This record gives sequence, C-alpha cells and structure tokens, in this order.
Amino acid sequence: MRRRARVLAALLGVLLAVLLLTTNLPAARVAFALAICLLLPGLGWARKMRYGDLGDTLALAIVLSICTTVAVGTTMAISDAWSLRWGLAALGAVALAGFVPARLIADRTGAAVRLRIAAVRLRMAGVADDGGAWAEWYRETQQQVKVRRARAATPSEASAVWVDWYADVERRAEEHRAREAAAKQAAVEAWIAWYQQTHLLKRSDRRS
Amino acid sequence: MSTEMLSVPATEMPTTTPEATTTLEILPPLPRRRGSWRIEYWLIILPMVAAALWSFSFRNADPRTMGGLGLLSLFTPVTVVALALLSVSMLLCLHWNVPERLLSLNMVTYLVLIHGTPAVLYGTVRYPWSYKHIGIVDYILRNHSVDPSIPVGTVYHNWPGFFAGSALLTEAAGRPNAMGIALWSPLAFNLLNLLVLRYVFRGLTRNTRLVWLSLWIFFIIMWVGQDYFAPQAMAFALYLVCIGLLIRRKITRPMLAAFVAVVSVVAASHQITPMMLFIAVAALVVLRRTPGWYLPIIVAGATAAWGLLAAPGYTIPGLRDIISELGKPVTNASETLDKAIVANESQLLVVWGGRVVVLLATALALIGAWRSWRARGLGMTAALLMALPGALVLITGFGGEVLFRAFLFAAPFIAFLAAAACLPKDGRGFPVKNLVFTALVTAVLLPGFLLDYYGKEQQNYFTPAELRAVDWVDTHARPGSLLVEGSRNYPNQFHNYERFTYVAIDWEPPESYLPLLDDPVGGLEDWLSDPRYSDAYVLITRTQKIAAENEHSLPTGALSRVETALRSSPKFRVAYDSGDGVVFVLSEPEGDR
Repeated sequence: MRRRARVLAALLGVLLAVLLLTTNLPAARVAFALAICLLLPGLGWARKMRYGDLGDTLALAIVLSICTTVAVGTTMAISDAWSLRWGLAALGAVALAGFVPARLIADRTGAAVRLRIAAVRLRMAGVADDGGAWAEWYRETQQQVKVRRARAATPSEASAVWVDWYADVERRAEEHRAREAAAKQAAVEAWIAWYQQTHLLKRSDRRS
Repeated sequence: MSTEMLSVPATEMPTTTPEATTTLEILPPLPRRRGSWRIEYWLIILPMVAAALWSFSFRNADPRTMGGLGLLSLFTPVTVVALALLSVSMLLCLHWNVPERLLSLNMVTYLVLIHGTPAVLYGTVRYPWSYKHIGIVDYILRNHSVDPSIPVGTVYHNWPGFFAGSALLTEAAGRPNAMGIALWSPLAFNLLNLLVLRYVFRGLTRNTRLVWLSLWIFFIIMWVGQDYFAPQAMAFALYLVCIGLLIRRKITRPMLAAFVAVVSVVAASHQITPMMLFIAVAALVVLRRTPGWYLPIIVAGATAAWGLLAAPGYTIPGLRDIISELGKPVTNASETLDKAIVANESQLLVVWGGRVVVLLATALALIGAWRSWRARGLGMTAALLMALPGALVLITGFGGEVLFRAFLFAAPFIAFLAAAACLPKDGRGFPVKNLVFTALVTAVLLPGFLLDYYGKEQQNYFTPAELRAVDWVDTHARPGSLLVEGSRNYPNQFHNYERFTYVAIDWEPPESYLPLLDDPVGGLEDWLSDPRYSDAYVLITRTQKIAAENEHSLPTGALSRVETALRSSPKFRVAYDSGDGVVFVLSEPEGDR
C-alpha cells in the first residue's frame, strides 16, 4: 500500500471512529471490540511476514488476532481469572508488540543502513525544496507578462512577450531538473561509497 | 543505481515464492486486458443490479411460509435472474482478466447475498446447534470460568477455546449474549474463508485467474453448512492458514511462530481438526512438499498436551471410542449416509442436490489433477490435500458426521483442481469455449449447492416467538430442573443451560415414548412428578413439530396431539404461551410434589 493510501485509510478510520462515537455509542463499542479482538492484535505480526499483498496480510492479521483472542480468553477462563480489563490490556499489548521493529532494534547494521537511506532521502527532498522561490518567481513573472501583453501594440508583439516568458520558464525548469539529478546522483554515490566502506569492506576483512 | 532500489531494501522484498506445481503455473500470467473503461464499469454495475434484484425479490418473503425446499421455496424468477446475473458477471470478470478488486466485488456480493440473506430475513440465529454454543458463551459470561464436570455440553468445557474467545469478544462489545455475533457468523466465516483461501491458493499458483475461479467453485460447492457459530468453523479457517503457511517454498521464523500459535489454538478449540491437521502436515513433510521434519511433532505435541493435560476426563474415554471405530471405513461412512432422511420428494431433491455437487466437483478435480500430471507438473500438493481427508473415514465416525467433515477439508483442493480443469491446458487466458464449459459447470453446481444449503431451512429457522418461549423457561427455572422437549430441534440451551436435565421425547427409545404418546397426560405427569427435580416443564415449539415430521422421529402429528392433550387436561396448566412455543407445568402446587 502506498503511503498516501495508508494515510487515507488511517484518516478514514479515525473519521469513522469519531462518527461512531458521536452518533451511536453501542455500535461504536461493537466496532472497537471487533477491531481490538479480530484485527489489531495480529496486524503488526502479519506485516512482519512481508507478503507484499494486502489480502494475504489481512488474512494473516485476522487469523492471528483470532488466535490471540482465543488464547487470552481461554487462559482467563481456565485459570478462573476472568477480567475484561486485563483481557483487553493483553490484546492491546500483543497488538503493540507486533508493531515494535524488533529486528531493526536487534540488528544495528540494518538500522544504520535504514537511517542512512532516510538521510539520503531527506537530502534529495531538500534539493527539490527551494523554499518556494521557484513558485514565487513564476507568479511574479506571470503577472508581469500579463501586463506587458495587455500593453503590447500589436498581436505579434503580445505573442512574442508570451513566447519569451515561456522559454524562460522552460530554461529555469531544465536547470532545476539538472541540479536535482546531480544532487541525487551525488547522494546515491555517497551512499554507495559509505555502504562499501562500512559493510562490504568489513565483510571482506572478516573473510580474509 | 536507481532511487527505486533504495526505496525497497533487499530485506524488505517478499520472502515467499509460490510453489510452482505445474509447468503451466510457472508461466507468467498474460498481460491484463487493457479494455476500455466501459468493461470495468459494467462489471461494477452488474453485481449491484444483481444485489438490488435479489433484495427486491425477497421484499415480501415470510420465512414462516417456507416449504419442503426451505428457503428455495421463497425464490422467485427475479431471484434466479439475480443469481444468474451475478454468475455471468463473475465469469466475465475471469474471461476479461479484470483487476482483482472487481473479482472481489463480485465474490463478496455473492457471499453477502447467499449468507447474509437468512440473517436479514429471519432476524434470528439459524440452526439449533448454534444456540447450544451461545449457551456455553453465556455460561462463561456468567461464571467467568469453565466447568468440565457439567454433564451437558462436557466436550465444550474441555475444548473451550472458541467459546472463551467469543465470550471475550461479546463482553468487549458490551453485549449481554452472543446472539448478535452468532447471527452474522455464517457471513463472517465465509468472508474470512475467502481471504484465507485466496492466501492458500496463492501459495499453489501465481495464476490469478486460477485462484479466483477456484474461489468461485469452492463457494458454489460448499453446502455442508459448517459456517455457523461453532468451533469447527473457526478451526477450519485456522487449518487452512496452517496449510497456506506450509505450502510456501520458504518458511521464515515469523511464519513458523504463526504456525505454532495457530496449531495451539486449534488444539484448544476442536477435536477433529488437529487430527486432520496432523495427517496433512505429516503427509506434506513425508512427501517433501514442505521442509521441516519437526512440524508434525509440533502438531502432535500441542494436540496431546491439550488432550492429556487440559481435557483428560474426555480424551481418555474418547480414545477408546476412536480405537473401536479405527479401521472401519464402511461403518463410519454409513453413519453419515444413514443420517440422510428421504421421506418425500423434496428431501430426495435436497439430498441428491448435495451428492451431485460432490460427485461432479470431484470428477472435475480428478480431470484437473490428471491434466496437471500430463503437463509434467502434477498439482501434487493440491491432489494430496484433496485425498488426505479421506483418511478421517478410516479413523472415526465422528457422530455420523465424518463424511461431511472429510468433504469440508477436501473441498478447497477439489475446487482448485476443478478450476484447473476448467481453464485451458496451457493455463493462459480463458477463451470462450472454456467460459461456456465453466458456465455449464456453474449451472449444475449452483442449484445443487442451493438445494442442499437452503433445503433444510424450514427446520433451521426459528421465530422470535419461539425464542421467547424458550427464554421464559431458561429464565424462570430453578437449578436442578427437568425440561421435557418434544424434539431437540429448537433454539435450545442458550441461557442458564446448566440448570436443566434435558429429556427429548423423540430421543427416547420406542418402549419409552410409545406409551407416552398413547397417554400423554399420564406419562408426562409421571415424568414431571419426579422428586429429584426442583421444577419440571414440558416445552413444545413450532420447529420441534416440523423436525419431528420431517425426520419421522415421531409418528405424524404426535407432538400436536400431546400439546392438545396437555391443554385440555386439568393436571397441567400453560405456564407460558408465545404462539409458537408453549410451556406446560403440573397444575398441582409445587409443594405437593
């Protein structure tokens, strides 16, 4: 799922939750019970399997959630220690534990690589972000061109004003793209060099 | 190096590769048809129109008027048109190889219509057995524990997983009982099965068309009705997930952990599913369809641990039964076949509807297996998993249900191989001749499925008035009461169930019930006067009478005659009458008894 879709799904979920809470409390409670017993406990654990398919992840999430709910309920029932509060707390704990990036925490090298990737991405994002200068220039010159076209004596003169401005826009956009590509290339090369130095060389040292 | 490579580190790449069981399946799927938007538009509209027509056709339907063919007797030509439209839409989706979202729209619409209609139309939970399970959840909600020493429903207290989980869900939802959950269970379990089966089939093939055709065939052959509020419905989904985890080429540590968790829950929830799971896992490991020699040991260990440590009082006597039934496939299978009651033409149609579905689907599956084998690949895993449930018949009769359970476990793989038989030999495309063939197969299987799935609804439907009568008894009776029922086919034991000793007239031996039918007043007066019971009731309901007639468990009109006799006798009085259920007690003051 793309990030935008995830954000959209989360927003819709929150909206639905708010709607349920504000309109009908019993229905909201049913919806939350279904989510906390039949979806959330297994969701994080299912994602850890990295199937790359929403349907497969959802199937595993529901089944693992059912297993968690059954395990918690059975433990409480056979040990004569039934408590809704503790049961829900246990389900919540399992759900949260599923989202803890345990492998990332345990694997420092992996964590370092990911952080570096994040840094490269951030740097690339910075390239495109000129603080709004480009948009500002575009708006200003567009206004100027409008005024100049209105003042032009002949249609051909008006057309020439517009063509000049368009060429200017294209030239600046091309320069911007070139700068961005160069920065990206530099960032990627820096990442490769860093990775080779810190990981590949280490491995070859270990082998030797 | 491109930036895309950075965005997907190698460690995040999917670790699972579907097992290629035939050379056909190794081939990459053809590019999806780039048809105009109109095709997709129509394939969205068609299921919606079908749903609207279906809903319209049931607008004035009254479930009380159902005849011998159950819910089918309420079908109108519009209902049939709706179903035909939905089938055509599904097959066209497959023919045009549209995106999965459209296939899932069609499939979900079908499931909602077929399995959601009884919930909406009846407003009450189907099947008498569902109510027993609601009763166990009710017990846990009231007592916050289980008690394996209770003589009624002992097995449920020994394998309480499903009920304890349901109790937790019910209490978290703020509901007083599990009726609401049970009402929507058939639909919920079928939707879960859709997800889980897609997961399993994606482990067998990468051909999306084969996956969805298998799903379609599964849902038009699965008539055994094991999707109600019951441990086996949950255990079936868990069994499929275990199989799905194992048929991936690589089993990672998270997958192994999931397998152990699922197996443990199955072991604590049901008796026959761990047996089937052990057989399947052992066969997959022995025939090298999955790595991991320790997997059958995990299943056997979890099953034995629960059986011997948590449920020894039930397991050890149960083992004796299994040993006595072991190696008697004919006797075990006959137990199921003997249960099929054919007293009139409608029942004959219902019984043969189901049998034709099984025979045709199995024949198609054998063709599919043979074609896979001829293609030098052999869908070995699917064929194996289809054949293995047959081993259950060698082990147990399972109270006359073993053939149903064997079909239940085999059905996903029957559907998979049958779908392979419907597709072209090279696995590419879905040309018109295959489309027509599949449409013909659907035209035979779907009515057969509907006959058997809906055909017994006359006695599976309970009116709200009937429920009120049962609830009155359950609420008013003191612990240690006697409840004499006309038959077991009514919404029984769903509240305070442990308070009663149950005596069903039609379950009594003939030497016991025949004198009672000759003299209902005298016979029941004797039964109800037994000083061992604090209170004593006779309960006769609408569906008890229907079941006794349909199953011929009592002579025609016997329960009506008993009811008339009790109403006219001064020795009995009506304690509660809801119209569809009447409760009798002895007229004498309780202190005199």
